[in-house]
Amino acid sequence: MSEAAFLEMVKANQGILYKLVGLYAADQEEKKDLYQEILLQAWRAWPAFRGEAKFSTWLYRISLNTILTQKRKPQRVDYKESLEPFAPNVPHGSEQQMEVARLRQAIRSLAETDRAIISLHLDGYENGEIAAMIGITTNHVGVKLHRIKQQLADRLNQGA
Amino acid sequence: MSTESIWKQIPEPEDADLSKLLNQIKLNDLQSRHPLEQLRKNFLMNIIWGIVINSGYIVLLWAYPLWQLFITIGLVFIAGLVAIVQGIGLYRSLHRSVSSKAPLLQEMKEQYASISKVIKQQELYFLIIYPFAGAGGFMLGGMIGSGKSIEVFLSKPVIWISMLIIVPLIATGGHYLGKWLNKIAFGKHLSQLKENIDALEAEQQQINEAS
Repeated sequence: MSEAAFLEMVKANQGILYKLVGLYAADQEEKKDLYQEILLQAWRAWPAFRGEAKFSTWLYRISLNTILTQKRKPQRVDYKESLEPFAPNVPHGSEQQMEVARLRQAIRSLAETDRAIISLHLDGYENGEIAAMIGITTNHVGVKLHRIKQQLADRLNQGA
Repeated sequence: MSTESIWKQIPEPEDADLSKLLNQIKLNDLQSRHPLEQLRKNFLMNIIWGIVINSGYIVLLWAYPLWQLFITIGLVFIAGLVAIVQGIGLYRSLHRSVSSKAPLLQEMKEQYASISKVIKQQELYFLIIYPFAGAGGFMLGGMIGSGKSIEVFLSKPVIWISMLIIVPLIATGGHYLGKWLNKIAFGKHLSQLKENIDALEAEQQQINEAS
């Protein structure tokens, strides 16, 4: 497949990349660096893609593997800086915008591996699929999700 | 409102900067900044330098065929040769890219092990060669600097005592300098990887024990 065709497939799934780099990048510069690194790693791995999984799942996995093994700056929990690209269509100052912002801030404040697990869960992956992508048991995913949701609820209530 | 419902409210994210980047990007021209790539590049440079320096030792021993230098520099040369051979094997075993098939935990563990292995091998190599390289350098430098033969230069006790003080200082200093440089290059990254690995493994162990 040509580079142009590969980039077209990435474009069709770029929401995954925007969301993930937004959850891990400390600033705008790092966001671009992570994004480019994911594209490069995906491009290198592309010849081995046999279509056993959906392209979006494959891209999700390589994105997480790249982000969490990449050198990154210390995390800044600063939702204002990164809210705009995350939800540009949400009206400014609305209740919905505040909720999205609080959720985003709460997720960014979680441990790095917890952020990966909750984002996979919220994007609709089953516990078994999450377990296979993260490398832990399905039981463990269940336990982790229960605890992460409690943490998120606590943080969202604190900020309310 | 539940976390899931708030998440579902979020429209498909857009990012003008990243979208612009995607339209301009040439994938084959991109340079990776991934630690594995950095490690491979650094390691390749070390191997090349190792070959250059070892070739220099041969010239040195040919120019100054003295038994004292044959022992010290000769040992450094052999250690260097072993390190170069091991280094080439290790270099070839280092992955160039992130896996698209391995689970996250496995990928993090493999990267942690690769970086740690390279660092340990470098530290061990330098720990072995610094004392000999220091002693060889001291004798050669003293001989050339004083303009005397090595036997005459080493005949004074003060020279032996100075060498016994200076060489361990060079060896210890070099060893800790190397450790410090590795810590600057990979310390924080290794700690973060370890923290993430532990976060996944510790709880898994508890679950296994409970069930």
